[in-house]
Amino acid sequence: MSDLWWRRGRAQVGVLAAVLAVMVAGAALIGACVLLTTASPQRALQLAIVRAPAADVQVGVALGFPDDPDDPDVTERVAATARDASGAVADATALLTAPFGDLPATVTTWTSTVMRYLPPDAGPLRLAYLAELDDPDARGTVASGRWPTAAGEVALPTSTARALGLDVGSTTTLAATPGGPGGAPLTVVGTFVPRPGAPWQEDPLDGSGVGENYRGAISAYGPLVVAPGGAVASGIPLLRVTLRVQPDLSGASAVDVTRAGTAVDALRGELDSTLGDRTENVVTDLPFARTLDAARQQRGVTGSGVLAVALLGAALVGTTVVLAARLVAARRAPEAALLAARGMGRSRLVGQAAAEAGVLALLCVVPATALAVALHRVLADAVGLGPADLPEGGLLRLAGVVTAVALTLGVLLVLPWLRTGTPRGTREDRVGVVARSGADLVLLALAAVAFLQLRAHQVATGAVADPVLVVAPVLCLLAGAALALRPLPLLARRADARARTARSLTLPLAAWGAARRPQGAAAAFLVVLATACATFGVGFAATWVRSQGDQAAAAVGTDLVVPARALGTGASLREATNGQVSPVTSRTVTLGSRVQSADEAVHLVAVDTRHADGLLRGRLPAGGWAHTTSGLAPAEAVGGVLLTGTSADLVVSGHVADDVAIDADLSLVVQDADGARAALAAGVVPLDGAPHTVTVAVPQDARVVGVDARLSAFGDAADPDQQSDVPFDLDLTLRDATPASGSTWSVARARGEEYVVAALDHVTATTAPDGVRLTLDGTAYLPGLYWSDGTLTALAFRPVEEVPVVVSARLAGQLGLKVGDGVQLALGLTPVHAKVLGITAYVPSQPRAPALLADVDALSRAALSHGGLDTLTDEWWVGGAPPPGAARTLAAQGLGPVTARAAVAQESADGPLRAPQRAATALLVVAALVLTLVGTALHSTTALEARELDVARLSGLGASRRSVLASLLAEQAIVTGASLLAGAVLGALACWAVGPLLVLSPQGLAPVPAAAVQWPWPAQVAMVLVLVLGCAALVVPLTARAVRRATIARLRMDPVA
Amino acid sequence: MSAQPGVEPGATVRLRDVHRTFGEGRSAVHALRGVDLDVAPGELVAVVGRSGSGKTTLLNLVGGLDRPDEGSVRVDDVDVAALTEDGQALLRRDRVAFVFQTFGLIPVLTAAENVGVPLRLRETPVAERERRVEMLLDLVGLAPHALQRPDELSGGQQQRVAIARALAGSPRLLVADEPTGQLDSETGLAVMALIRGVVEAEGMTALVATHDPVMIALADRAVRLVDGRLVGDGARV
Repeated sequence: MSDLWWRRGRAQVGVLAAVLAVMVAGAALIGACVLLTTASPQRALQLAIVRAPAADVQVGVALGFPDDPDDPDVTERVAATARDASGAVADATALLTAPFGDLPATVTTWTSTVMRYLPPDAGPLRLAYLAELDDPDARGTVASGRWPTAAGEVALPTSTARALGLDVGSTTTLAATPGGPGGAPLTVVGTFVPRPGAPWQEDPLDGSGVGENYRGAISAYGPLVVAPGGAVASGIPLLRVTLRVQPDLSGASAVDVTRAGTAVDALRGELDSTLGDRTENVVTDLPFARTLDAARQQRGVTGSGVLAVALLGAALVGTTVVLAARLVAARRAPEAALLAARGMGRSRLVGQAAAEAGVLALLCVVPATALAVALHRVLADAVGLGPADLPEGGLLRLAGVVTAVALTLGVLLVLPWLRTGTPRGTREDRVGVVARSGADLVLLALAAVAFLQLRAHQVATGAVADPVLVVAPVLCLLAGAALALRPLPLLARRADARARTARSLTLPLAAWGAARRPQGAAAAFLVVLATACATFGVGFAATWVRSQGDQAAAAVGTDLVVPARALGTGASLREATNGQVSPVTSRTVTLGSRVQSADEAVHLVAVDTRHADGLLRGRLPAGGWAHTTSGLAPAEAVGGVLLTGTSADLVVSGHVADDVAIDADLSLVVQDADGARAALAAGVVPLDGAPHTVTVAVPQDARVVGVDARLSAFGDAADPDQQSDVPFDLDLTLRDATPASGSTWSVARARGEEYVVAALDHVTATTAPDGVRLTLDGTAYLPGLYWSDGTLTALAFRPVEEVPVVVSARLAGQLGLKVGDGVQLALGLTPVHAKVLGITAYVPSQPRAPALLADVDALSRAALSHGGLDTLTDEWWVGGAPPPGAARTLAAQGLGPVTARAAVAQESADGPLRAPQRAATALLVVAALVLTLVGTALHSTTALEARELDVARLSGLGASRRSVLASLLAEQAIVTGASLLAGAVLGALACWAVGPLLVLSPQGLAPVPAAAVQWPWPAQVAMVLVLVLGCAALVVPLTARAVRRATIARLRMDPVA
Repeated sequence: MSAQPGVEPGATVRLRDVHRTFGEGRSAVHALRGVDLDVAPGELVAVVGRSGSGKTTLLNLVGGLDRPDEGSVRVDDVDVAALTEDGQALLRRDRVAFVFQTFGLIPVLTAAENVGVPLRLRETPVAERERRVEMLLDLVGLAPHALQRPDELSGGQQQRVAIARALAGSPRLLVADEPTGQLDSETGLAVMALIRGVVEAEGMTALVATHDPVMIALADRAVRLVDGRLVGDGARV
């Protein structure tokens, strides 16, 4: 018998080689998918972490200490550490650097002391603090003098120096109590300008240098930067020590990243246990862990897509192998009939087939494993994950998977031998019809459930893959393919019915063949499913890429986001980008009495809505941003006083009745050329009747749109003579300035409603020979002004009481807001009343948050109208088409880190963490194309070999070869063409119905805005054409060969019906 | 060796010195070796011989399914060997009809559709085709089985469908290769009687390869093939 096997194998080497090739390709396809879900994610994770911005892979800890370590409630150990934290810092450093092993890491430490009192100098209480930084040049630029190098030396931010009237060479002291004895004198040896952005996140004043309302009422100044060791040497207790470890991951391997991730995950507990008893609190900040978690989340989303592709690939491969099995069985049918006639039982036939299938499966393991590795390597290189090395033990695991797949495919090869009867190819038996209908119904029900689950699915779950995301598309496509086969016989039967009334034979014969030969179901299923997979894959990939772009646009909100707050930044941005520039308010706000939670904080975004379409990005369900934001911008232009040059030169004089001593701490509200506003401190001026000259640095093309005066009165509050209302006036002459057209000066509402100690009665602006003169007339209410400051603000526009806003649908839903409703915002301490003008799907840059969108000019006017002087410029947005290197250029100018929409979109679509999905989708499309052609070839070979006898019969009846060939080709065209068409339609339906539900954000959330279906016609048409032409290229020669082989000699082999 | 030297010139089938060899060299099989045969119009001739004697080869040459290596084969005075492939197909479509030992029915077609195949090849008008198919099925006694497919019919019924199909195109010559070879004796007899009857009724010529003594008895005459040669004088054997 083995001799028979051997000889038979040699005789059928062609068909066995074809079967082996199909098994190798199929097992390799699944193997490649396995590598895409195992090896690729590790590599992707490594690349994502290595390429992440430095700030995203830091680890840090802040050690907090009590304000007063001498408090009896403070433990001795904590108090000792607050005075000298070197031991705690060393321990924290060791813990923070440990996860990165031998990788280089930079440790930076920020140490700040508790607040101490500055000398009173007869003024209000003022606080200041020391800070010790080991990387001063990274955090600031020396403006004058130098950084401190010795104990007792300090350097101040320029804003602090100006506000405190200190300069290089000045000295000051810090005291533990107001007016108490100061410590060692501190000599100012330099001033510096803080670099914008993250370097000052540890600073209590965020690098602003001045905090007017530190802890409610007292002004705070700082930091007073001391030399290394200076904080401890000063004797002032430490308030906080912040350590940051910045690892250099450029040389990190996947193993390094995995190990670091595991160690960082445990860091929080280790820091707590090691340092918890030496500090008041330990606050860990682990961007590395967050980045890694986000990457893992993305990996889960990506893994779902890859697994879905693997399942679809398995279905395609399985069907192809079934077709290959049929070909083998058809070739062996005469032999099997002979053996059966000679008494061989079915079980032995099945056993023989199983043995042969087992041999084929084992033969396919090595080439399939090698092919899977090669495929994975090619795909990884193509999507930017190369070089794709297998993880340790990966080859063995892969070989195991490939072996399992090969054996499963081997089982499929045996299936035809398990059938109890040889199909005659005529009418389908009723049991088969019922069974198939039942299976289809079950599949359809499962698909319906999966689809509903997918539609309700909001968040991807699972570290490796989300079951719903994996199963739903597979079931939908499988059920769709099964369902799509249903109309094909109906159509064929209609053609069959029409064939009865035809005179000729060619087309009717094709129709009869198509309608009455049910063996084509598997092939049709393969063609339908593969075509659907291919078209769905192409459409879904396009939809996914488009959605990532849309999500990036909605998340960024514009083309470039620059985290700068300074006036005049817009000019630099315009020069570098030639785009539409706007100062932007982007911050969380308190909305009425709504309770805030970390996840649901209401976000306020205010931009220059006059140029919304040029500035804002993100697709809306309907209409554009200009339409959405229409009506938000104020109708009236702001007036004010136009300045020349880069400084505002003021001559200030003030008079107070009854010689009451009042000082005015002046600020000019300056607006730059792009509409950004900020209150610039002009210094403290006594209202003593004498002129005082003040100079304030301003950006080019600036204008003064407001003047703020904080009045402080000095005197004996108990003196009955000084307890009346006292009128005063304040004249400010802005030299070389001109009044802006349409300028209308008005008075802002007094800040704080509870107790008014000074009020502004009139504001007038007149043109003076040397500039513009502003006169502020008001009344000071004594003795209240002795006890607290009085704040007065004059504005160059009519006060704005209500800001029109557009609210996000999420916020509207949460609060039940409707158009026309009013809401109360709190911008810090400044209340702003807003009115809902419209509801939008989302607010740019805050696609998921409950948010409000306002015009930055309107918001600023409203805040100023309520005496809110804090700058509202949190960042700058640039719209338009910035040149490719704009972000780098701006970062080089110190305006970084710049967020570029294009970069975010590219990272979302082409980043390493999404690469496995792209690779898998490409693999699915290619595999579908190849398997369609292979399956068609196998089926056509089987079907046409079975038809050779019919061809011979027809020849015997006088049919010409040409007409028989035409009939067979027409039949193949009907079967294959209809299947291709059905598959393309199914792919399109899946793309429309399922595709958008599979698109997720990088965090695994439903995309905002909702994914818009993309159907790239050129690619789809090209792919279908490839399928049609490929099938034709296979079927035509096979059919011609069958007709050629169908000689009269075939009739001698005709089994009796 | 020659046979039937006295047949008149208007013979439907005329073979002269026909040779047909399959293969080459030592493995060559000489299926026919100088066969001469004339079959007169309306004559039913049985070709008798053992298996491998060349009967089927002879019938295939007459039906234009094969070409002789030497000699001429004429049907209705047409040189079959000289015809192109399409010409031979036309010959089978219009003049010669086959009945095969294995019936040769198309399995996915009903009995009526099978019978209608030759008519469709001639693009006979639908109404006329349906009438003729009905008549022929009635003739062979299978009208009630018109919509059944071959695997739903018995062997005898299938052969009767095959005969009906052969008659559908009103051929001048009916070539039947062991038409009862797969049938039991009773069914075979019925089929033979049917062939005999339709030959007489339609006035056609028939050449039937058979082992069946009944068929031989029903034939006008029988010729015997032995190792590719006709033996005897062509009288009833």
